[in-house]
Amino acid sequence: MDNLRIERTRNAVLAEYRGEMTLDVTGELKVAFDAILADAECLILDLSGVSFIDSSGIGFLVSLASRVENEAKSFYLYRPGAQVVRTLELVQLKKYFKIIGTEEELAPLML
Amino acid sequence: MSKRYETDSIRVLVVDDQEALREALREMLEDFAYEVDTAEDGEQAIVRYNEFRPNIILLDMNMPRMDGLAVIKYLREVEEDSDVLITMLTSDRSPQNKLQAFGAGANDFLYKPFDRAELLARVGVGARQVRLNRRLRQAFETIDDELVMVAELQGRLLPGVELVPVSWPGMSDVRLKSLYHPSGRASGDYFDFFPVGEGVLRVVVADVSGHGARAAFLMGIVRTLFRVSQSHYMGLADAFQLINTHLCGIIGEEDDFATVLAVDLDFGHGELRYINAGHCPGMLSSDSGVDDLLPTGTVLGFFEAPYQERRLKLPPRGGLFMYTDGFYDWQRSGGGLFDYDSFRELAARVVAEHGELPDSLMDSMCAENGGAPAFRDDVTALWIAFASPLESSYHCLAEAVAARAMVRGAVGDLAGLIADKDVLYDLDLAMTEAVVNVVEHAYPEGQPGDVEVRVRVDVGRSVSVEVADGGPGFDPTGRDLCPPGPREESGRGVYILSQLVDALDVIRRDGKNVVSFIKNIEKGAWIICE
Repeated sequence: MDNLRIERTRNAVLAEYRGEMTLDVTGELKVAFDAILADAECLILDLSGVSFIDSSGIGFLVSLASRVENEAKSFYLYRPGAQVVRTLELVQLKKYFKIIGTEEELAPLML
Repeated sequence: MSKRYETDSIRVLVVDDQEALREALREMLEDFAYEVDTAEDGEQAIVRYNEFRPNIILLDMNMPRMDGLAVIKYLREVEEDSDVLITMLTSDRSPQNKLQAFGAGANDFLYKPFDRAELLARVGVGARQVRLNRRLRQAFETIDDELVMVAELQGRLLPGVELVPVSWPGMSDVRLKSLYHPSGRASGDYFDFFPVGEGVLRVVVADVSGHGARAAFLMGIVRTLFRVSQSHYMGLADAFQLINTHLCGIIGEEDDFATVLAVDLDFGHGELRYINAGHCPGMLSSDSGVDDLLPTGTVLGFFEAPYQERRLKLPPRGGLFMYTDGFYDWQRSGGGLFDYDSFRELAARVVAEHGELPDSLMDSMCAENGGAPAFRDDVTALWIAFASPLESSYHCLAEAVAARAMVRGAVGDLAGLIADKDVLYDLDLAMTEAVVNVVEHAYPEGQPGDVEVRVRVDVGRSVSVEVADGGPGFDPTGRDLCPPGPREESGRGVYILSQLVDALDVIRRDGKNVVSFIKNIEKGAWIICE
């Protein structure tokens, strides 16, 4: 995917997605993350470039988090924008995700 | 003229220049329980008249200073007293003298010298007449008081006559103005307006034949039954049927009837529905001209008949003028009849000029007549000015990429009206969820149909959205609107939608599933705010 940028360290994968996270892209995202997840102990999804998210996008995030955690791996949302956070709050799922907002929080995960 | 004392006593004023005769008459009348006062000439008679307020005057014809004829003329013409009974006393037996006295306003005549019994009999007849007049006056005042009460009650049945900006849901720029001039105390004219569902305004103007309490009573029935049509969500045809049945039952073989024009202005669907039961044509003005809402059926109250409504497209902006026939058929001050054709021509011109009816129409009628029109009947009018909300439609194949692009386009259009980014985001999300619902669930897999989005903007107030699909539909009954847990795979979109909007409904209409919602938006969020 053109708007998905991947950065890997020894144990972690930082995936930065830019654009809207809606029904028209969630299918493609699922395929892309199938490949990414295979060899990562910790997945950090950078949402700072996500301008819009709907219930399909949230469904994708929930499904991804569930898969990662079922494999005893870690999953974080990194720098979600105000509207994304608001939408997560709207469906009362903000607490379901581990959210980090700063580079200081990110750094130890990227070792 | 001041009222006479309303007791049973009869006051008699004896006017004669012969003292002996005056005193003899006083004694004789007082014996029969009359209250008596006397005067020795015409001038003194006028003074005593004003102080004593007699019911009967025994008046000598020939007196010094002011004779009997002058006294009669003064009382009838200056005092304008047509009630006091005047019996002339004279020795002049010429027919000319008698004719003059009757011509001036005398009621009776008695030649001197008169017989005591005859005089008492004549005064007795006068006294009976006075008592009868008193009873008639009291009866009239009772009836008049009741008519005042009827008129007051009737006034309470009519909405205010001032300019009314309507604030019912779905009517953002609708203004009404009424005019009501009953020709008498109580009237058969009637007007009313009220909402019948969201975005539908029902307006009624009616005219019950005749005047007075009878017409007002029937008008009250028509008004009440129309209000019943509001509380029972009745369409126009059912409402007319109901009213006609009741009126036929009440009126029976009498010749009363009612003419009624009732209009439903459906701003939600851009439609005007009306029934005109023998009433003057309403006038619908728009940018393309003036259309008459001609009679669609006969008057109400004569016989059972079906009433069918007629439908027109409601212009995006314009006005509706409804009135009663008192506006025409009156005599012009310069001669000639101001008839329906004259009225129609003038009203159409004023309506087309977008004047503030009915004031500007009255001004034009005054100008054309050279003064206030001499209306002969009740005059009632209702003016409804409206401008429909901004409306846009979008549609595409119910497929994810196209649907998302369509919603982005709709939100882009709204961004020209709404400045607040959070509000736009919420609208974007709400529309997206409604559209995604169609994309994912409306059509059998592999057979996507269309999805249509209709956006109506009440500038400064709200955005209403309808998302329609032609799929088989689903039953929303029993779906709860709790937030779905993380493990649940469906229901999240509808939940988000429900949290973002102020009203949400799912219906099936005209073979389509329609998800509709309204989001109220604070004034500060708008770029344009009227």
